[in-house]
Amino acid sequence: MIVRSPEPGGRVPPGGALRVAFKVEPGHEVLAARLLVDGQDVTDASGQRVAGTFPPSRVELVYSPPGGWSPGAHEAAVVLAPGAAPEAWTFTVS
Amino acid sequence: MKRAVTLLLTLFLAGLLSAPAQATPPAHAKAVGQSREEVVTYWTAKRMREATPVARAKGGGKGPKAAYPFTRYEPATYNPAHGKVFFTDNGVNYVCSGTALTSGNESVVWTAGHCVNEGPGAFYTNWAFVPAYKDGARPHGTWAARTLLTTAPWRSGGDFSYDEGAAVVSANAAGQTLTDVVGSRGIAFNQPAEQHYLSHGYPAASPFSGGRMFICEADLALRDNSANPPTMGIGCDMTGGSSGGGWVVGNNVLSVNSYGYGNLRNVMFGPYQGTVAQQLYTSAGSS
Repeated sequence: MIVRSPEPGGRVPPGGALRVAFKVEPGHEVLAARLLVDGQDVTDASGQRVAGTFPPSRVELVYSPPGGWSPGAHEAAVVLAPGAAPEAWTFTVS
Repeated sequence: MKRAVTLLLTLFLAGLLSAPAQATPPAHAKAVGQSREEVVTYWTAKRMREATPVARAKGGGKGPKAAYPFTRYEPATYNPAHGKVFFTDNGVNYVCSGTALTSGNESVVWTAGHCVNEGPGAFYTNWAFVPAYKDGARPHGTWAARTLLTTAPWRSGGDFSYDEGAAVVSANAAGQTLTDVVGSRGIAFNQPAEQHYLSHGYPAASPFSGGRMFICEADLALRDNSANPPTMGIGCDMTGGSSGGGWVVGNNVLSVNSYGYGNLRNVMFGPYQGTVAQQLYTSAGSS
């Protein structure tokens, strides 16, 4: 389960946030996922929300670039675990 | 350095702009397709112990500790309106926390949306509430859910601004209702966010064991403006397992433990309870 906002092909305003939420598999590293925007790893600049169940069940990464998004098409990708294939999608800033 | 990083993260959180406001659709509910006996029988003492395993989940707590003041303590006497929540999702047993509320059917447990539903996704199974749970003791029994409910924004999109959930539990074997047995807290909506909160929970992730109830006592410290409406943050070092525990002011629950930031320790966030939460409570009380 991956929740993406904006969704693939969706739109976000220049001041908006990119949000991706996913389920944590039991025993997996909670903060292992990486978020890439236009090829750059922005994980450390993202908020990493962790739902307070035990064991952990859900993580959400929230990213908004300093100064806002540049207009046009962007690509986001999330890598849920080291070595996993990236889940990529595109969205538009307008 | 830590202070600077904390400030940067806080500014990051504060700087995120909000999404457009959402309408307030009704709550989503699902009748539990399990009998009371089936759920109560499922939660053996062994399963409850193993739902708070010794082997801790990896990760978390990498970031700096926030400097928001709080005190955290185990109450000398447990108020049985507060308790521990157990449930199963895709074959994995999880724990959360919850609060028995005053309601028309005397059977409502208030908790986080993510403690009843995947958001988006299915409602959980084997959902049970154990009031005043303490180190495996169940002084007021195990109460099985007959209906689970959450807000539409949580059910459809996992929106942490609306991370509220409720369970309507069956009467016990003696035919008594939940609040007949354990009493209850009230609940309030659309209240000022600036309050002095008593956040209750059963933290289970390290360094806690999940066997004891704790209370974080703190003033509102910050709002998370990356959520709409902004969620509320208080200083608190409770860990996973405390989700769903009530934030009490006076005798009323005004929010629940919802989430923390993996890169900003010792801050607990909870949703601001507005009209959507009120609709959920109304639906639960009449289920």
